[in-house]
Amino acid sequence: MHPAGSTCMSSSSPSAPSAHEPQTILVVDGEVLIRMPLAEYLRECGYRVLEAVNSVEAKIVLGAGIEVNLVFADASGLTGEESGFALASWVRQHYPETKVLLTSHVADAAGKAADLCEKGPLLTKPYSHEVVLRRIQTLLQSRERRA
Amino acid sequence: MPFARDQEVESSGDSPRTILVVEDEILIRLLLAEHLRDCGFKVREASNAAEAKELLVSAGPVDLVLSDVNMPGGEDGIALAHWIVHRHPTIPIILTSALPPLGGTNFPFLAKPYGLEAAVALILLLLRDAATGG
Repeated sequence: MHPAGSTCMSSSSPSAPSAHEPQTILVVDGEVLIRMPLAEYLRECGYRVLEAVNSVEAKIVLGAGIEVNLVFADASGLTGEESGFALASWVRQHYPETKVLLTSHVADAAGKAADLCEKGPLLTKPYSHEVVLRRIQTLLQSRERRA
Repeated sequence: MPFARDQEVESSGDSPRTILVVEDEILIRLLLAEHLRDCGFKVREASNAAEAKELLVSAGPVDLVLSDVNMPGGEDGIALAHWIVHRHPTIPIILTSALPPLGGTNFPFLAKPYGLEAAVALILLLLRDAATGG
């Protein structure tokens, strides 16, 4: 885990939108000591970052009409309608322009291999913030290319 | 969600003041946190008392805590405030709720619904008091 306040590697954040309205990332993770440092890191990289504790909060944020470019959600632990996988499906159904990147502990990820094919990219925990940043940049750039 | 930067924050030196917002209602938490960031504060967000304690113990210093009173999870904002006073007696605490706590409270209180400007004004006042030992 990165310490709170770790600085963004500016050389690795070419897509961080400094000249335009910042792109919005919604970080969904029930572990505050994982969610907060990642959110602070991404803010330092130039993104607007919103934090949600779980899928219910994430849906409230999106349902409120707040434009979110990418949802980064933990898929560990919770199952059923509250799981990160269910959230990913919901986002793709209701907000197809919003990218989704899931993360999960390695053991959980192996157990959910069938879901991975259907639900898209997954980043295993523990992850480095730089890796998350690169994956987010890649996904948002692919979104821009299609736009 | 654009906010006017009408309440720029006086930071001490180069580092912005850190505010811990403890609020279980996501849209209130988000709105307040973003406004405070727009005003120049560094903001940490907790959805309940347990998360707030984790952040206070493990995530570095906090200059002020603004906490809702009624939150799920077994511990309310008043209990959290007393826990903070015991461990971090110099951190100013603001409690907020739709109704004043039964039996009153010795902590600065912000009645819901509150204006963002009112919240910032109270935060700035308490930070200045803390800096001057008031």
